[in-house]
Amino acid sequence: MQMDTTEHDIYQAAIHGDRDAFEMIIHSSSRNLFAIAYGILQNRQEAEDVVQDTLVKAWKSRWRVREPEKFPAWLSTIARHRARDLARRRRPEPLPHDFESAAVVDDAENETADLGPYVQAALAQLPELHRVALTLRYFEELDYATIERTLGLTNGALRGILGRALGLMRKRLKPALATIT
Amino acid sequence: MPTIHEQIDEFLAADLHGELSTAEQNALHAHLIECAQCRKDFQEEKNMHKLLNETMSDEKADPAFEQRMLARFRNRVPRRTGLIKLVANLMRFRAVQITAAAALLLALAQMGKMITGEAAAPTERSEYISNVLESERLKPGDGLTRDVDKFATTKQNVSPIAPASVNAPPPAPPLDKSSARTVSAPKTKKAEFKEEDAKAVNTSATENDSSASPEATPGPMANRKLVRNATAELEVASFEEAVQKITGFASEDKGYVATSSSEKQANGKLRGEVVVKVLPDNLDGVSNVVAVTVSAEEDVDALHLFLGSRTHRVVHDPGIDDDGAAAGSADAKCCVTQPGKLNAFKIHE
Repeated sequence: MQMDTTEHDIYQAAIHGDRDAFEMIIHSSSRNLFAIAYGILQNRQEAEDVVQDTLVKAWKSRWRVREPEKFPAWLSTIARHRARDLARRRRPEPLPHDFESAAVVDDAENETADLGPYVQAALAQLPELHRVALTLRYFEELDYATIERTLGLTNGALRGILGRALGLMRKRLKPALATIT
Repeated sequence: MPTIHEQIDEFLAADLHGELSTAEQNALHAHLIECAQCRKDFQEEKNMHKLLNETMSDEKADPAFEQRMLARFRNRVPRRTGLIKLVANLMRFRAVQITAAAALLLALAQMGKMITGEAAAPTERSEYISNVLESERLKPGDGLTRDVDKFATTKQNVSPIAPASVNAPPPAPPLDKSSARTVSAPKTKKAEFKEEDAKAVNTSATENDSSASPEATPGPMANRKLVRNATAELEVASFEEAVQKITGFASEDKGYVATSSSEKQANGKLRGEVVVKVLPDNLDGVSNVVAVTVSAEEDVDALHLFLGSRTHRVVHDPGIDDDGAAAGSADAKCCVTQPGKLNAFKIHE
């Protein structure tokens, strides 16, 4: 959870209105914010809009952050709230009708290609924080320390979340997983 | 402490993500050798990990994502420049916010006073006290009113000094050229009076009418200031005697000596300050006088100007001039010739 000095200084400068510092944060954080928003919305365009809104809102209210160490988690919270608001406004997408039997893929060469919708459907059934943690891990391959800092979690909490998330996914996609060699 | 078997999901995920320590890895693999169920879960977990890697990597942000976000951000939030940027940044700080809020409240308070017609803040309390004193003075049969009437031999029946300072020896005081009479006598005893209230207040009519019809005098009160300060710097032969005289005359005007202090100077002489407070009615006679220098030759007119009609209260207390001669002047003595009142201040050469 430790933040190096340079990173700390950048966040500090951004809080005090340094536009260049904030643009550096845009460079370093926008992908993570996209992963968070996508984890909740599972829609690329909407996730991109959420990131944009998050950045603008963060710039306008940056002075509210008292401790620079909490800036990444604060950014993530804004993104999660905006994505959640957007998700509430739209109708839930139905699961694939054959989701429960998401079954056996005959074509061994294309064994994972057709499982995309089932993976998305299984993800959609996870708790929000589980989805967000999973997308951060698998979109950007972030290590646990970065995910902890981004989401404001402890190592133990993140381990539990990712363990349960993978376990749930594994159980829901069990028939499909059996086909993967 | 939970066992690895109980936490197998966490261990399997952390192992696949490369987040287990060496000790944890060894412990996990030892458990997998022993536990068939966990070995099966481990195999499924690996497949799940592979599936997620392959499916989700297609959905992640494209390489130009950051630049696109930055460009859109710059478009939506243009850079501020110059003063606006400075003010906007300053307003982010708590101290600046508090200061701005305080300034705003102060401005609103002053605006409220302007709208309601109240005087500026420093004189508000003075106005109140003045009103109280005036109402007391106007009560029929009041001792103070009688006293004022007794001294009202002219329309300006006032006492000039409040407070007075008595100093020994004084430097030549600066004169207000606009209103002072400057006398260039070779031997000059100087008295300087400063009327800080530049606004002349006509209260003589009020005083004359007060005993006859107290109700007829509420008008001037609205613009009247209670506290006026006049300062007299006097050189006296005896500090103690001067203080006694001042005290006596303050008592005559229903006033009093508020503070009196003295200190011995390097030359062995006393230098002191006496603050006398008298009723506002007795101050009006000096309202037109800013500063007066009184000389031995021309002090009568000057004293009239300064003291209004009450020159009879000026004391002649001859001192010793530089040549060792008695310093009292004929003019000053003339002031004493009016009967009944004696010894207010000594003005000598």
